[in-house]
Amino acid sequence: MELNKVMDNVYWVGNNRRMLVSLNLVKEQSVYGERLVDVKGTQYREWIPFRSKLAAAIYKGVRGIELHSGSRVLYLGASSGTTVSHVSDIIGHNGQVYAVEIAEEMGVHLILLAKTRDNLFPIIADASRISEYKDIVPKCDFLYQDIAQKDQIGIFIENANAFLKRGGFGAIAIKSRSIDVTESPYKVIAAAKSQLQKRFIITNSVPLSPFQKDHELIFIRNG
Amino acid sequence: MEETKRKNSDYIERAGKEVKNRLSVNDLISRLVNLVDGLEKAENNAFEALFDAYFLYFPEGASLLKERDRFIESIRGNITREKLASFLSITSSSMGYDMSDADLKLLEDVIKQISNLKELSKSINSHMDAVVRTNYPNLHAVAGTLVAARLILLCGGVKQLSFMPSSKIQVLGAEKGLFTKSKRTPKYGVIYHHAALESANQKKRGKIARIVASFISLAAKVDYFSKKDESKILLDKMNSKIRSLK
Ligand SMILES: C[S@@+](CC[C@H](N)C(=O)[O-])C[C@H]1O[C@@H](n2cnc3c(N)ncnc32)[C@H](O)[C@@H]1O
Repeated sequence: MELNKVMDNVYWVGNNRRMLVSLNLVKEQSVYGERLVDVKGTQYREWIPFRSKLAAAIYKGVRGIELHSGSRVLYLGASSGTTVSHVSDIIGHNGQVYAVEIAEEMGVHLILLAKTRDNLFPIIADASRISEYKDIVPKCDFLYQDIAQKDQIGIFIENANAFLKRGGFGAIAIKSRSIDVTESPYKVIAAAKSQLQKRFIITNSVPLSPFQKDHELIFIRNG
Repeated sequence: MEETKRKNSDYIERAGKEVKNRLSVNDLISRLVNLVDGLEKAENNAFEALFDAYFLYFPEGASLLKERDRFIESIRGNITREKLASFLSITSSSMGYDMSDADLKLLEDVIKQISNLKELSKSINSHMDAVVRTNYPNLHAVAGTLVAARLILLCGGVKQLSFMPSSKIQVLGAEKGLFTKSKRTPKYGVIYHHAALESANQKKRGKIARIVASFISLAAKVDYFSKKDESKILLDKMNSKIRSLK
């Protein structure tokens, strides 16, 4: 089987029906039911676009995502760690992902996952209350947010102000029907972008259909 | 922030403590509600499949026993056509498929397991009753166990419930239409399973729902803030308000 590199530790595998995979940091571990694939003695995990917005963005053609081996990442809305686990694969043992999740039921899964991955730093806290974790999170290279909340952009900006390095990068998932249910999805995205543009440089923006309904992933650069 | 090598074990410990701190009896109650729901679903599915299987064997008999409890009671101990026919005073000749003794024995096992599921639901319900009453005596008295438990499941806890306007409590659990543009507010929330509402006539239901919701709100506040047991007073007041509705 053939491997084609997408970014650090992420590849397309297979010829006709291609599948996105990431290098498995913890051999034999499947985090959410994804398939494990061995190629030439190395193990990879399937990265399923229906389960992960970041994978969906890659399937939709986004390239040049500034996540690298050794990156330091702040991830807001980590849930049970589906996408976080792939970020952990990408950044490897020299990277760190600080994963913030507000819901303790989800947090339990995240904490259990962290016990198997030394680059995953779980934090049970509210991303709109930076004071809860400002002392334990360092400046980061990448800020990722997927929280589907009312003031999600305000929260993103505040966290960027506190934790994102100048010149750092980020991505925010916008649910086009969560901020205001009566607003058309198109308008919601446009409003989100104009709000983000006041603070960041938008480098890319991609609707995630058909993998994720009513979602857009917007990529930014910090100054 | 200094650059010593961070260890994720410190974060794991801290996050684990945070989780433990946050978990409460509300979570137990929510899981019990889910268990009851899951069992009920399993029981329904098993019952329907059992009925279909028996219908295959003796449609003439089964068609007279559409009511669930009657069906189970009647075929338990009367599994063969001959026995059920004489129990129902009908003839045992049938257009159904002739099952073997072994087939029928299997159906008897299924009946037994369905009855076990029922018993299990009952014991979970009575345990839940004790848990809710001990922890939230006022809410328990005013709402009843199941409505109280479902409200807790829906809003996350009695704290959240105590901060909720009673107009919102009234429609909790009826938010299916939330993501549509329709302005029609949903009418029937969980509290419509309240004893005072299930028995009330259509015209009064809206008014009773308002009264019940406002007392649930009050009871939640008492349980959360003062933690005193004022359940008798609250219940009396609520009932007399309901009665005074003509
Ligand atoms: C759509 S899920 C995230 C899925 C995850 N990003 C993945 O791809 O694996 C959103 C998560 O954000 C969490 N969340 C919502 N508001 C939050 C907040 N203010 N702070 C931290 N987490 C939050 C929710 O509890 C939920 O688990």
